[in-house]
Amino acid sequence: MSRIPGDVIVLPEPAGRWRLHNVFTRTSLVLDVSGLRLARAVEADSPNLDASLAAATFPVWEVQCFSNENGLMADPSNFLRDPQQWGEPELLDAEELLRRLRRRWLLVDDEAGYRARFAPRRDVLDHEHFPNFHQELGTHLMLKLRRDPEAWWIDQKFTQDMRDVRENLYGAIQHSFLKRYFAERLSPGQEVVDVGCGPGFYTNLMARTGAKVLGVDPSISFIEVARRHAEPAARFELLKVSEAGAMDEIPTASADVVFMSDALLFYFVPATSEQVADLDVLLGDIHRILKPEGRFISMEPHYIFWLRPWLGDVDRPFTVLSEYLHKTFGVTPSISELIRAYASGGFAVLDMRELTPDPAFESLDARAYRFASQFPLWQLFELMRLP
Amino acid sequence: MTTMDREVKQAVLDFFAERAPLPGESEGEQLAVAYLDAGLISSMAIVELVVTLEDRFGVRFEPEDMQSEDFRTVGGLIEVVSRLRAP
Repeated sequence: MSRIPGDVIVLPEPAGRWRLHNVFTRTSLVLDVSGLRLARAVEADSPNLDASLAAATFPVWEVQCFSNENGLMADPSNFLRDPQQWGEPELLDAEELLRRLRRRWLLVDDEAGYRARFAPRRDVLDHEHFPNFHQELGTHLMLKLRRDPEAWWIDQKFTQDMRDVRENLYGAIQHSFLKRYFAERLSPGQEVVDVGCGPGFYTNLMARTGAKVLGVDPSISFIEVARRHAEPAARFELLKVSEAGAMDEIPTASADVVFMSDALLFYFVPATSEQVADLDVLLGDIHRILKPEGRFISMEPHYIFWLRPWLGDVDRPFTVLSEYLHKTFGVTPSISELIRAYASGGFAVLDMRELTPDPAFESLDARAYRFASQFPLWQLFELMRLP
Repeated sequence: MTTMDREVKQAVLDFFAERAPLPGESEGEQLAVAYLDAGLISSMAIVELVVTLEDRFGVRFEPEDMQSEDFRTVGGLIEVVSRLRAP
């Protein structure tokens, strides 16, 4: 018995074409109306097929891609959006079209087998389970592109010389916001620690306010880059953040502000099965190094909208939420998980911002701008250390 | 059963011997080890394994090769490389 799963939506495309998209597996195929009719006919009368359908040919456009190959800030919908890129259709017979639909999980024969695929993936070579985003990215980078994930993370965020954030949504949202925010919040002489500083870009941005900033990160390659570009008021140390005792060299009650960005999510959903990420150790260290009533500024991917597909017309974007509390693809903690973690770590929420892009970005990428203006991609919490 | 190229077998066994000694008394037992399910090597080491074998034997794994059931055991892995290497 074949079935088009309830997970599939059908979206209009130019010139009488239709995109079938499974919102859970993020897989798509574009058909014309004859292909749609075939899928429905098989569903109604599987496995018998009307002789005229069985003999017909159907145009099909393969539009599947891994959209985040070039960066986290790319349109994450996992299909080629621009019909110019689709090329000429393949003309398939009924049997081959049905095979393609099954391969993209747009038609399912074995319901129990399909459901079982939503269980967690075991390792990078496991193809029997659907991956979460970290796993999909890792599999793509390592097995298809043979690229070092650490280098990829840098390239997609920073310009080649690593002196600036790229002019994508990182630049338009994070950088433009933090320039203003740090200027308002930090003052000369303040002691700041940037935990998980990466190559130190935001560490240096903070140091330019006159604050004295220490950037710490567990990656030697990041720390080496950071040291090359260090502002006079910034210094960098290699510390195995989140391992017990790793931050002991930072004195107790020494920091006015601790900043951490795009790193806390990995404590809820590790990037790899080997990753060491102890949230209690991390928050305990941040609490310890802050002065009484010191501030912990935490900027993370938005708990709902991170990597949701960008659907709809440019000026009226919408998205589909297919999971929230029990994520199989998503990698951000829910809002309650996050706030309860802050609270149990000894912090009180003073402020929360949902960050949107700088208006100048609209002329560079109207779709990304409109989507991110409606559905924030990052949130920032300002927290106070409680006694 | 696909034949095992002796050189390939030695290279694979050497790889594990250096990084993650295989359990098992006999060679037969070692070849049957499902090294991924046993958690013997990390995901980065899997990539190292792939690149090492590709460079050494001038083969290129397709995603289907790497995600096959064969690839998950030591013996199966040797067979996959042997097959790709065969003229």
